[in-house]
Amino acid sequence: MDNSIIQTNQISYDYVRTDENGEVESVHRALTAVDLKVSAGDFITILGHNGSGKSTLAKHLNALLVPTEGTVIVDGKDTADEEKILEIRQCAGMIFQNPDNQIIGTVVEEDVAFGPENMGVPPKEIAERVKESLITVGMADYAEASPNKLSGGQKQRVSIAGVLAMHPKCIIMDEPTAMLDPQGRKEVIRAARALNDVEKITIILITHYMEEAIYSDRIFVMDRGKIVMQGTPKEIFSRPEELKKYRMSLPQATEVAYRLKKEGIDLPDGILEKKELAKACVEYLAKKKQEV
Amino acid sequence: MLKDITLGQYYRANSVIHSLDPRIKLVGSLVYMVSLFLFNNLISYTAAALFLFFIIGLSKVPLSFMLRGMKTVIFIMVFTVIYNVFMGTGTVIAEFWYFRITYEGILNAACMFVRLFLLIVGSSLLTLTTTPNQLTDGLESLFSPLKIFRVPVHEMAMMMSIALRFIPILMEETDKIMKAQIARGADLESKNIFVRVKGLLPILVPLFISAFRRAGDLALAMEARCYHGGKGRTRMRVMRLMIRDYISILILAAYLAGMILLGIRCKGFMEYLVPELQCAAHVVKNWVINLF
Amino acid sequence: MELKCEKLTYEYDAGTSMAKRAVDEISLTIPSGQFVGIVGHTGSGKTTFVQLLDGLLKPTAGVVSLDGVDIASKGFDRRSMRSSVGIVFQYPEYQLFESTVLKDVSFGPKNQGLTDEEAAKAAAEALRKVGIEEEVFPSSPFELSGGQRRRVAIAGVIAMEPKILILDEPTAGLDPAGREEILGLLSNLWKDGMTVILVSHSMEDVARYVERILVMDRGKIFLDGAPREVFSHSEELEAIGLAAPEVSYILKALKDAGIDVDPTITTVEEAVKEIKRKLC
Repeated sequence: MDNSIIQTNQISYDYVRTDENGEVESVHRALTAVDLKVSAGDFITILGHNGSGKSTLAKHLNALLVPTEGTVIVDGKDTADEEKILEIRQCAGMIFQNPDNQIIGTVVEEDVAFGPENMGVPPKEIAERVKESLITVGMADYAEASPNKLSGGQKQRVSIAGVLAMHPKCIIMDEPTAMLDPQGRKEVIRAARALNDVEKITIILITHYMEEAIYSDRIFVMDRGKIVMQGTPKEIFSRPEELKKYRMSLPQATEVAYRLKKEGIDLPDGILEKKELAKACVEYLAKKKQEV
Repeated sequence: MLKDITLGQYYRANSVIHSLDPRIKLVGSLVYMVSLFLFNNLISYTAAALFLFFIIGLSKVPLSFMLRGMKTVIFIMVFTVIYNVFMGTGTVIAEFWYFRITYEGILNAACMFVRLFLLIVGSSLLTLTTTPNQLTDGLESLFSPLKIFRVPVHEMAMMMSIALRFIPILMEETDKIMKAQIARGADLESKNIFVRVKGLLPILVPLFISAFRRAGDLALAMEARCYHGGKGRTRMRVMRLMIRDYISILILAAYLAGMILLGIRCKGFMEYLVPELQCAAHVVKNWVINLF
Repeated sequence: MELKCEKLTYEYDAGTSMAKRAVDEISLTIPSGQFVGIVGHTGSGKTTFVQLLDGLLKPTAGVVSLDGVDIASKGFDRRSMRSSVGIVFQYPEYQLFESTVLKDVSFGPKNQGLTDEEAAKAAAEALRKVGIEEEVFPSSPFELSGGQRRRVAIAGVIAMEPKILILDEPTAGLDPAGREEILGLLSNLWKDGMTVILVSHSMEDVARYVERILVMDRGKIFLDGAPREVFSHSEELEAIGLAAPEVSYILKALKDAGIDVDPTITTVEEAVKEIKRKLC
């Protein structure tokens, strides 16, 4: 059985710039033949440098953009089908980079209510959904606060609650942590992982912080509008040379392991966390002692 | 300076006035303002002032907090008083150059001062006890009959609430851009007006670009959350009139009737209004004649 | 140029009941040519502090002095100060406004009183320093990539040839390679003799590049010292919502696993060397 929630088939997208007379001035291909398949309940990370086409891809996944070529299927619906757009957007919610520019309400709970209100949910149910969602992201105490008084991490959590209140199956997060401090970053990633673990919501996280990618089920790396690498975190981070070529880096523990390996110390590939590194080093020492 | 404005600021408290339906408060404020122009005598002013202080007492907003907000409008009030003192006609008390101080002028100025004071305090009470959101909701609901005439009431209310949310953000941004350009040697303190106007460009251009970027982001975020105009939209909070609202309507009606009665009994009302009405009628007549 | 502050204090809404102390009696000296990192969680007063250093905010109390001259004193020429201390704000690319890259970078030098040609020359020089190629000079700053725009904005400050350069989160929002480019650039400027003050959230970055770290908490300097010394207080740092660089936690994990490494190491390079030494 096919349990994919999002599937793109060879999608390409052109940004077309026209002059004052409506004539085409330049065409910039932002996506080229992208195939992406996301299974329901997965935690997916998309890595890629600034301008690699990540955000353009993200906007295709909830019908904010429609591909120039190819099709995007979200929960069995084609995003090119105008009549299904609202259903698709309800199913696949989206979090953006700038915490200020996506909060519409002047009070936290009103902002969270915005989505369900647009969907025409009955008032009583909206209030319940708002409460639930704020509790899920740990912002229930701020229901009546002004968004302007919140920290970046808190604002992003409010935005997540706003999407949650629409009861989506999938949430796409387009660099939600790029403008946050380490504390805020932790809050947001923790919330995203909890949603995936507990609520079984599919998460598509776009980021360029490697540490945020190590817990995902699959990683896709983008460059110049194409998916150039894909695999589990272990597989991806075992290919450091390639990653660097695409302007990415390695998680710190992986970086240390990789450099040790280059110095001739035979450690296994795909070390992601410090504990793994410590274990690998201990094993290395034990092996060496045996040999002696 | 901008921080001192309490006009348009919300004061959080738990009072009867705070919990009234915003529509009642809007209509109430309007009725109160109109009532101030129905009379021109001391007794009525005292009655109107007593009524206002009664409401302020109910609202639990400290008087000192309200008066602090008056600081910014004091200039207008002083100007009005001076204008009235010197520009009156009637029994002359003192005279010099072009100016004439008359008994009627002083009386008029005093009345004007009290009237303006009550007007401003009365209207600031509305914003002090009503959140911007409740205000927009109230306005939207009050004006909703205009939808028949294709007035985009919902859209206007939405614009207003978004403006309310982004004003503080853009003010902060302006401050940041100003500092950044000053740091690059921009001359914003020059006494030369031309230099100063030219100096605005490096601030206005980035500010506009930023405002447009934010607007674009926000539009995208709204679309992603299924926003598609006011059609089929529900609200989390449905405005329904409660007993206290009906009681307020009764009190308001009683107040208005009382003021009209007082105005007639104290004669000032008709005397004051008649020339005024005649004047208005004259203007309208001329206008109609000109039209043909 | 020596930057010094004495009992520097700044209060928002000073004199009202809502007064909030953002910078609280900070006294310190930054000698000429130092590479200083300022860390602290959001709201610790970092941004306010650096704005005081550049004279963009007037201190509620205390003094900032450049080579011994109080910058608030009457005889002090504020505009010449702009040439001594440059500041790059967060997301500086949002302050670009001219029609071409070169014109935008010339804005500062022109305000310093240089002629158009001189300013263009200074701008070109600064653009070269930040690694912007000449063919980009005539294009609109808004056509560039995010990383390029950031570098152009930094060039706009460097073109004024400041002796002291302050940067507030210059790498925010950039991809790993972009971050490296900016940090490498700062390192080069510092090697050329500039005093660089870097405000950052990234402990890894400050550990790698700076000579001295100032840790701020609630408007005060919480710790002040060389990276290794500051990061040896990892528990205190955690208590105020910060952390040591990831590497030191990696080394701690190794130590806990029974490999006797030095956990006060703060950079990847040193860590690799240290682990290698213990494994071979």
